[in-house]
Amino acid sequence: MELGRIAVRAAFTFIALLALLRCSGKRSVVQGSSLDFVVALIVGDMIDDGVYGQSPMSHMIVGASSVILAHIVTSLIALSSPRFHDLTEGKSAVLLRDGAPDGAILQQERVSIDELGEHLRHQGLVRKDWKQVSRAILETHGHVSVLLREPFKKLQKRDRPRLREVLK
Amino acid sequence: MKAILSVLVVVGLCLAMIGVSLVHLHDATTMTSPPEAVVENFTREITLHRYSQALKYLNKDLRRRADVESLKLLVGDLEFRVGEVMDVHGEPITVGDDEAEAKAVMKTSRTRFHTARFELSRQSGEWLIESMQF
Repeated sequence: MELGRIAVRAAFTFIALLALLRCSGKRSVVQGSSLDFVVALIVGDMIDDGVYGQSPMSHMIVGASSVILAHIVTSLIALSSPRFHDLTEGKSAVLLRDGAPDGAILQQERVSIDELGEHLRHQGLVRKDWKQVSRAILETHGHVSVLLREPFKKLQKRDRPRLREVLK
Repeated sequence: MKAILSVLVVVGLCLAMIGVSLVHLHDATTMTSPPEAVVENFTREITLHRYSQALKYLNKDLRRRADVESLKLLVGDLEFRVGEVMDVHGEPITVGDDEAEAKAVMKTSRTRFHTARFELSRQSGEWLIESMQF
């Protein structure tokens, strides 16, 4: 009987949270910024009490939706104020510029050269290829974006006419 | 604004569903904390000396008679008789539509186990403690 109750509570929680997260927009689940992480952490803890009957479902719904509403409001403010955005989500940092790692930034972001190498290897760039990199940027959600220098960029559709000229 | 409104609509719908379940379907244990969870939470709060937190589990009548000081005295007397309470778990005895009985089984340092019995009643869909016997 208790197992049945847990199943009903879990199913209700699943549907309610799915609806709430869909309302809050794609960014709550797709990005992994500090704000999104905080929401996942708090809501995750609230669900636990609701599913096991430690608190009434109404408390769980009101608690979780308050956190999600706070998240929506905070993201709306961050959207209109870059300063607030930097305060709540942090700034991206350039770890490597024109093939050379920036020691001070690496230290500030607590990223070792080995970790930077690991991120770049994910993009298919080993140590000797670092000179091809214009910028390696640590984004606010923790991923490293790599921008290649002009001669090393992959061919784009717009390069086709120039390529035809060269091959003539 | 659309996102905020839609969250409010979802919350309204969920609360309405919970309300229907509690009032019309006479659900006493699924959408609300079952009696055993209420007595377990209450006993845990008082044995951890969080008396003001424990008051929310008492019904109106009992809250009028019991205050933080009387809960302190209750726990003091309990600890004198059975020693320190190490762990608590709640168990249902009988659960009706609006009345229930449950017990809190405590693991104690001196007597190993001690059981407290509770009578509960429902107010606005929530189980609240009406009387207790430690």
